[in-house]
Amino acid sequence: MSEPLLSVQGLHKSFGGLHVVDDVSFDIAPGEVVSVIGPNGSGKTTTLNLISGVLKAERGSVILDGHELVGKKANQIARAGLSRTFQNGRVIGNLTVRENVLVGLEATTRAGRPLAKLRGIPVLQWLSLLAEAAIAVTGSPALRRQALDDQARVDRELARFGERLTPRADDYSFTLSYANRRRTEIARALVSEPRILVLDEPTAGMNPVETGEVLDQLLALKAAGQTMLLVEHKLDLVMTLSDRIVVLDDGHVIAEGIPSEIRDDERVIEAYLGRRGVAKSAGEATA
Amino acid sequence: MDVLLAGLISGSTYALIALGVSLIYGVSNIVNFAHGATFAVGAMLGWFFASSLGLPLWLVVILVIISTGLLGLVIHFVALRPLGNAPPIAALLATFAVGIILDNGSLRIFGAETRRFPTLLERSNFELFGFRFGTLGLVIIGVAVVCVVALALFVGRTRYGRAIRATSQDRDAAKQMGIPVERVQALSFVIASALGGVAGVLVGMYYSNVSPSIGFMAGVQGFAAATLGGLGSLVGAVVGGVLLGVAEAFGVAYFGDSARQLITFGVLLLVLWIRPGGLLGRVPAVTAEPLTGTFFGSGKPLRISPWMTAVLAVAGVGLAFVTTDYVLRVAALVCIYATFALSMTVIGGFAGQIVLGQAGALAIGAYTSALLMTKADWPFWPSFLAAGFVAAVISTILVAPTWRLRGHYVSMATLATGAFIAALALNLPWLTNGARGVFGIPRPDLFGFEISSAPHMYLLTFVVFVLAALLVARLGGSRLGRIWAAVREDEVAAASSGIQATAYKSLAFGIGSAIAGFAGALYASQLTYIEPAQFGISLSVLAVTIVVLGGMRAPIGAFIGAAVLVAIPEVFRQFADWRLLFYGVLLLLLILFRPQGLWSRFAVVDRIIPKLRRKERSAS
Repeated sequence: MSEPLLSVQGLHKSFGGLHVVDDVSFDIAPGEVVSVIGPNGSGKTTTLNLISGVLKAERGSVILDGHELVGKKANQIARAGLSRTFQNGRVIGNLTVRENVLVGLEATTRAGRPLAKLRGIPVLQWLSLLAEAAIAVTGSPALRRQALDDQARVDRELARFGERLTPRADDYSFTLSYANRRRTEIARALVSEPRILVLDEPTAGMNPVETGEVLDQLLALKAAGQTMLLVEHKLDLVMTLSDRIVVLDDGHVIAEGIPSEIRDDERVIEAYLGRRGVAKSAGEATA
Repeated sequence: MDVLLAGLISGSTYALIALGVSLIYGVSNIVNFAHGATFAVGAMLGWFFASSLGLPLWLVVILVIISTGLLGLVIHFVALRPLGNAPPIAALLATFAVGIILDNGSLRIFGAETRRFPTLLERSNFELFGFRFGTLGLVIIGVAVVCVVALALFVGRTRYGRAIRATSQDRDAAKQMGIPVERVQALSFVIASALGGVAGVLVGMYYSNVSPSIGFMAGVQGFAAATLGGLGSLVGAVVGGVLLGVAEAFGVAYFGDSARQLITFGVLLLVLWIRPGGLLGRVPAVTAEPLTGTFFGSGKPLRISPWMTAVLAVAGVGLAFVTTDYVLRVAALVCIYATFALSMTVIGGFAGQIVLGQAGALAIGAYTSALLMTKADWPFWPSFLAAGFVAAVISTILVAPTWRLRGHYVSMATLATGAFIAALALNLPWLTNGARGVFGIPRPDLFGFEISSAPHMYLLTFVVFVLAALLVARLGGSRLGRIWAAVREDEVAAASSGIQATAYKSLAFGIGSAIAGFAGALYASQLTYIEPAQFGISLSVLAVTIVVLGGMRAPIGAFIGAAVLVAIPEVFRQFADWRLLFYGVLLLLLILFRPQGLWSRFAVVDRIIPKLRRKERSAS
């Protein structure tokens, strides 16, 4: 394997004595799609939360392209090029679809944010903040150019989902169907062209047709070389999409390998399904 | 030693108040801002039973327990139950409104004067181990201990107690297991309010006088003690109460009685800064839901086109030439309060932070400009600019450490900050003239012309409001507006999109406080005198009520709200005493029935459209 893009080493988190994530390690190479699967409560979402900085890891390290992410805040991690979606879909209800996706661009935007290096430094960051507020009020040529460019990027991102989002671009996202909210969220995560896209159950609550659509879109992304880390219950989708699969149980990694290995791994079948011999029908059962 | 004992005595009453705060927080996950008022009602009822009806102590305590317990039940059913699944911020504002109603209702019933609380006990002193004990102190500590032990037994040993513990650990899970969560919440309100009422009687006996206005301070002391111990932790509430009592007693012994307030607010702020989870608690790592969310969301502000804005502005200017000086003086006040409320539009409406102490920023602005003009002979405009700047800097610094936290913590910290600033104005006489206030504040001038006539003052305030409103509208429509919306609705999602939420919350607060500071400078020049009492909690209440009434998300909402809330009471001058009660009732009704304010599309439309869509989808 080439030099990993993301390297997770010995990640650990406990909630009051309960070790939810216990010594989890895995690597993701550039362009690779890695899925994390496991029974409910096995620590999948917590692992994603630790990697993306939503929760603080107690031990371990997460290296993204040579930079340590543990100890950084979620917004810094997003700026480092890791963007994510959430298990239950967290769109911003009172913004339109377009505005939601524009929010995703905050991870990379530079125009209208002068002195950005001062951010995060107490007191001094106010120079940058106040300048940003002033530019937001007065407007600037750079900001206008950026705004046009941003709109074009948003349109491209929405077009990825065919006719699902584009006609609704100016609807408030609280009026959207559940599936469309998930799509909006994926668009928001993708618009900043992240180095790695982290998806927490992107097809949860979607019917088989919608799931198939998302699978096609994710396959297209993969073909375009997008690195992805994915938590998902629908094993069909996982098996089709993933280059490698990491299986968690009880906070531990119990298996890791290419889909065909995982499909036949005794421990995985045991942990994931509780009994043997039903692996083949697992996809349909959980879909 | 006597100081320690005094601290233990007041500490035990704080513990009782804090227990109520923590109990309700644990079970319902809201900070009950009406708790101090319940305490004050308990004290007044205690006075009424003891002195007017001449009942003995044990009967007084029992009657107060029953009546404040019932009051708690009423609060639960009137203010909280109807809000059901509304975001916690609605409940927070509802309890705040109930507090105002109770405080001012009891003010109207019992009168504003301080009453002498009758001696219900033979007072005798005896000595033991070098302590001098009074029976009174012993009884107070004794009653507090009995209450704490009874509560501990109830929570620890009974079936209902187990239900309370289960509910505070995980409401949804408790519901799944068949625990009647709503009844448990109602029960927690009854117990908490009864404890508050008992504390009221004890404090009344201890200081031997009571008045309806003691509630606010007691409430903040309760929050401070509960937060110090750890919100939601009952043991923590007792520990925090005793610690706060002792700290205050020593502070008062060394620095005099005026230090009491500063210590309370200081403790609350320090805890929120350093260890917001308190000594025995912890701020939950993952919060399930964003605090504001769809509460204000169901109403979209109506848009005003540029030419409508121009028409309104011309009409506003035209008003100066067609009406009487009296009307214009009122209108100038409306503009000043509207400008003041614009600070809430930015902080609350845009960034979603419910701040309850904006009177502090207004006070800093008013004092800065007044002092610069009267003591340093600065002209008006530099003082005006300085007012906004100083208000922004001081407020921002005082509240800065709080932005890591969310929801209730922000509201409590800003409440404390506002009260802290008013207390400072009172306690720094060398700078602020203390309670006497600043007199003879000059009127503004413009290019050498003094602006003192009513039409001119009105025009000035109107122009300042319009400029501020345009600025705010522009901010709201800009990139920053989008960033604030993301932070307001879902901080976690915003952070994961690369937004540094703390910085942008602080920025909104800074901008809002600057606007409040400008309003303060105008306020000082319009009234020509200021004193600390003007900047009490009621002014912060007014700011909140104005924007909730007018609509939080559009600058024009601030104007509409201010026009209604400032002008209408002017018309009904003879009912001036009822004004705050009216604000409280109005605020409560708005939260229950029209949280998005007047200036927004009717919620019905917004609620029906998504429902129809959903039906369509499920039908297809």
